[in-house]
Amino acid sequence: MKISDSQDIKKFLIHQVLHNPKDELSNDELKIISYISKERVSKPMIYVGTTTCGIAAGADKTYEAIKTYIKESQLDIDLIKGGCVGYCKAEPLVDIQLPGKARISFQHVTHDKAAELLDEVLNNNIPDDQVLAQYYNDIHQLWEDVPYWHEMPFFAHQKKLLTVNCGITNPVSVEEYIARGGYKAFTQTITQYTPEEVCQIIEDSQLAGRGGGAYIAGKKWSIALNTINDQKYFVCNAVESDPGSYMNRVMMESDPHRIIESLLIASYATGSTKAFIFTRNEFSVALQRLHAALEQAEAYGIIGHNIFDSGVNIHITIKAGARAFVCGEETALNNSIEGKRAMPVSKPPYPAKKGLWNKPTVVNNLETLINVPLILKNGPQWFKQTGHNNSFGTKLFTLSGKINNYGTIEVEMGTSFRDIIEKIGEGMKGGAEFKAIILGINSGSYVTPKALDTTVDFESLKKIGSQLGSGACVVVDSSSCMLDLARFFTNFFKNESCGKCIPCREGTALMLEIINAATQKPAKDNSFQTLERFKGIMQLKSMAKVMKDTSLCSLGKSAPNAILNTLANFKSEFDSHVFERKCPAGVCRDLRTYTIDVDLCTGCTACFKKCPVDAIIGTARQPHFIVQDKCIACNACFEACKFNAVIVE
Amino acid sequence: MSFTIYVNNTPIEVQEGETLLPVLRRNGIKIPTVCYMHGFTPSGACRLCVVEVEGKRDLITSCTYPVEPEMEIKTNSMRVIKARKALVEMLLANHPDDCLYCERNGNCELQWLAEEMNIKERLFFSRKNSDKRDHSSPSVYRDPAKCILCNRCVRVCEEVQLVTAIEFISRGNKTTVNSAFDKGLNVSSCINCGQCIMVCPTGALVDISHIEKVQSVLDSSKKDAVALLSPAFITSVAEFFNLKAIDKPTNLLKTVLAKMGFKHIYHMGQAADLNIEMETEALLSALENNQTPIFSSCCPAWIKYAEEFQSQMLENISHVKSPQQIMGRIAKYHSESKQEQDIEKLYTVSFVPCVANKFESSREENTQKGISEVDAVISVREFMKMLRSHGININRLLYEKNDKGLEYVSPAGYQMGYSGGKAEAIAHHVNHKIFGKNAEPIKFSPPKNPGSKREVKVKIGEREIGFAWVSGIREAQEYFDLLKQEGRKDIHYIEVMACQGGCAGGGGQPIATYIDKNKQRKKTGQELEKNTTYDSPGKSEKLQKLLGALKGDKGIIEELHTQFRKRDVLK
Repeated sequence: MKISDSQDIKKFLIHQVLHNPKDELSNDELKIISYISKERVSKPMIYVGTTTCGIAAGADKTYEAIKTYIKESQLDIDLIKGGCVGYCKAEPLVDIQLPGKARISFQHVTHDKAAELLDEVLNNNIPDDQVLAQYYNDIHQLWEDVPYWHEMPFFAHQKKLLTVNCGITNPVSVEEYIARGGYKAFTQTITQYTPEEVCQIIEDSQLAGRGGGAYIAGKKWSIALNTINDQKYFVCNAVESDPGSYMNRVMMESDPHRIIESLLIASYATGSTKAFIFTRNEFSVALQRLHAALEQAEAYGIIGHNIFDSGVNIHITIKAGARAFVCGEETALNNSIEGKRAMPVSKPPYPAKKGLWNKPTVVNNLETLINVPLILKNGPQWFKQTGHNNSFGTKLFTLSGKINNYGTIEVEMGTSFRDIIEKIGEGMKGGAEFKAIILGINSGSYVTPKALDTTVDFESLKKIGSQLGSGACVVVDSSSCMLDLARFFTNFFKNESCGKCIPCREGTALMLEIINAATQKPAKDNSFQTLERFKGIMQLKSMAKVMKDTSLCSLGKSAPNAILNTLANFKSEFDSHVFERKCPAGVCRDLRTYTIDVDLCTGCTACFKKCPVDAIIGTARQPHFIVQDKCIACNACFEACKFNAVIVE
Repeated sequence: MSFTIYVNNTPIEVQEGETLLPVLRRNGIKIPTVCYMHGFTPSGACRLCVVEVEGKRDLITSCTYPVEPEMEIKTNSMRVIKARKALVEMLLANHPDDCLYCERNGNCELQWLAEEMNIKERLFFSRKNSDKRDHSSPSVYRDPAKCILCNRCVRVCEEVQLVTAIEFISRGNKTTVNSAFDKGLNVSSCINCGQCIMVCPTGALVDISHIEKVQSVLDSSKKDAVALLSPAFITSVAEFFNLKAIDKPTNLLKTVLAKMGFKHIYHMGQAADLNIEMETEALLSALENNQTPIFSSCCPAWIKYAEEFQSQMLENISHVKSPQQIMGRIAKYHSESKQEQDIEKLYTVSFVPCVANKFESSREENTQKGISEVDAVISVREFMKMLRSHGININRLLYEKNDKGLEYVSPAGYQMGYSGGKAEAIAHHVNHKIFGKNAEPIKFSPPKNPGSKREVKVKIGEREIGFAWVSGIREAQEYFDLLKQEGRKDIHYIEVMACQGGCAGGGGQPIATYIDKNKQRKKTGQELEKNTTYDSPGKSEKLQKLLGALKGDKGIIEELHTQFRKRDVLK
């Protein structure tokens, strides 16, 4: 067999790989596949992680620098814009694979360091300060004294099922994806199973929705499949707007073909001929790669009319909505796809019966969906082997905050948060005291030090009043004010509320005003305003209850969670803001008081000159004083003082 | 299929597929709501209709939730009452508390709710809404600060009128109902029908008031106020005060208006008759030249819609002016007692159940040398206010002698007050034109079921002429599309009214009236119509005399026709 150009590769992949009835492949064929999948390379390959996080760290410039280097040195090198392995800490990441040698990763390769690094590596030298790890592989010669990826703490405790390709393969190469086993599940599905059987397999696997509701995906599919209609739709919800989470974006940027394959299987299973990937317009890299991947899949005949002569028609459209958190709600999302204002509609009727253009529509979260090819390939029983406590499979998290290792992680259900913090995250940054993990804005819930042994699964999280929703995992230490965080969350909900129903629209705004009253100093805190402040705070809990009780969609229902959880877990912090008018963490600026230490003050008048409201009195070479009534807590005197005489409390 | 649900422990028989709210209301249980409108898609925006359902974690909205077998519902548990109260309190938090200066003071659903929920104290302190007010439209005045975003106006504008001149803009608590790009209604696609005013629960949408303008003229020696009474207006007032034909509402109104200080009072019926006469002529000539169908032109909101969205139809719309403008023209320029200096001195005020007429009177085509044909337009709502401010008690006046009536009354005028009436009058007049005085009156029987097409084919002489009538722009547009789709040529005259039910459901009628009120008004109108002395404009000697006089001077008939032009939205 001779493989010379892309047409040959296409023929080979379609006939020998996708449509090969026997599972065993000859050694020759396996070797060809390993070259297509870039497991083996015939010439040096340089792989730059240019996802949004990488670009933010300068990966684009690194890529350009390497490109120039290759051009100038006239070397025959493959340069690939790649995905994200999840280790955000080390961005920009550059992987280099030399023929016959194991693939090796370098961290913090900024554009100015690129040429130097390549000079060294291409001459088989490894600069110690930049090397991160190498990929273990028994077909390659390993580098000496270089740690293995799978042994690094950040990766050793993860279980990579969904993100295996992320940061490894070229995201916009359908060849690589097929060579690594992709689209096989889809071709098998449409040739071997009926839609009913696929729904049954997914239902048997107990795959639960990762969007927060934990509804069994197979059930939803069956409802849509059994609703009789001439047109059905399938929508992949990739509107990830939760502050602090970006796993979906990473998936779209790093492995778009997996999303397309999942969507194809799901559409087939529900009898949908049109599918949508709904994402956000801000995800420019993701959109670009999704479109490219879609084009490639179409060229391979995997999407479209009469796929591989099976009589199955599936068309996929990518829709990019404007920045709106409410689009994560399925009915609002459907409205947005239809071209209307993204406002949620009351359920029932559920979209599975009456969704897009009043046709049965299944909306699944991206993360739920990408499990599907694995389940079909390996069977529901295999899927149920991973997991814990009736929650199966793995869960993606975006680990961030005051922690040593941060990035996108994938853990098996049943991993405890302590393991995530201590093992994967390698402890708190600077050894600070752990205060809480914020589990996404949607649930607005905290994992407190007491609950740190809670495991990642639906039931355990429910017990601590949380849910397995967005996947944001923001670690905060004692330098954060919980009330300030609650204020941030409430402000977010206030801005993102669609404005349709009263409890969410008015409630979020009122809540914010109440919290502002507690964290800010009113211009003139006279007795009446104090009364107002207390009155509002008295209402806070009952108002939150009404909001949860009566809001139209889950956005409104979850808006008060942050405040309720703050009240439940950090009552003392709340009280000190309200009664003592002090912020224990010193974050709420308005509650700080500034005084001048008379012993340290030299009377240099630096602070006197800086004060914008003339709150500092005193004469030169004499200690100064701050008039508290005038002070607006702008921090100018603190910054101006060279003698540390200004004390902040 | 029917089954039983339990409401407050009482079994109630329901049909499958029903939603809860109509079921509860049918059984006499009062459920507060602001966003629910009968016959519209429930939106579930206000959440006030929440009830507690056994086994459900959250409260559910009864307007959207379908009944389920063996459901156990509590409509007024403490949890429900507290939630509803909190919702109203939230609404009040940023509502501008200027009830005393509000058009809808005393007739405001938010006030009623606050009273019903027993809200006695302000619990939430919030910044008051202070959105930009919109005075730009000649008919509708918007004050978004008072808006509680129930989205009734948005749904009426979209679902009934097909115009979508107003929609939600912005997000969160900054959300407002606004015209496109916040540019003002006058440049939007608004057709000035005023249906949004009719459904608004608060004072966020009201009509542009002409009361002060009129009152400043009433006691002025420089101007002579002239009242032009539309028959639909008389019907509406009669219906409001429950007057029968025997009470002679026309005479009564003449007395009232004279008391207010109007110098001349005209019945717009003669203009209606002229309009029918001229439109019939247009129809007959179109029939001869095969240029049918002819569309009626008396509804200014429909005209604006056609100018904006259906400009290709404009040449098929009869170019006869609407009765209001014909009447204004005649009153100013051709009245019998006219003197030369009168034109400047006369101040014509039309009384109509419409707000689009305010826009119509300000149209460029309806002014000449800076003098409008109609100077001010008073809606039924404004008239009710004027009655109170002039201290006039209609019921008391009933006992006084009201012999002196208006000289001119016409059945066609009353017919034009409801949907289908004008088509009927035209059909009758065509019949009359062909058969002369012995023609039998033509009566259209109303369509049996609500969904059926509103069209009638009448055999007049040799020909069979098709008449159709539609009200509500969506109904109209759907009918036009149907005609086009089927390529039908058998409909020759189409009466189009922008408001559902015709002027009986007009945007200037008293607030808080729904479709069934329209039917009542239609009935009152038909009763008043029966008590006129003749049944067709052709049989009216007065009209013939007037027509003769007008026709004698050729230019005058021309004056009673107008021009339409394509209109660009948002320019």
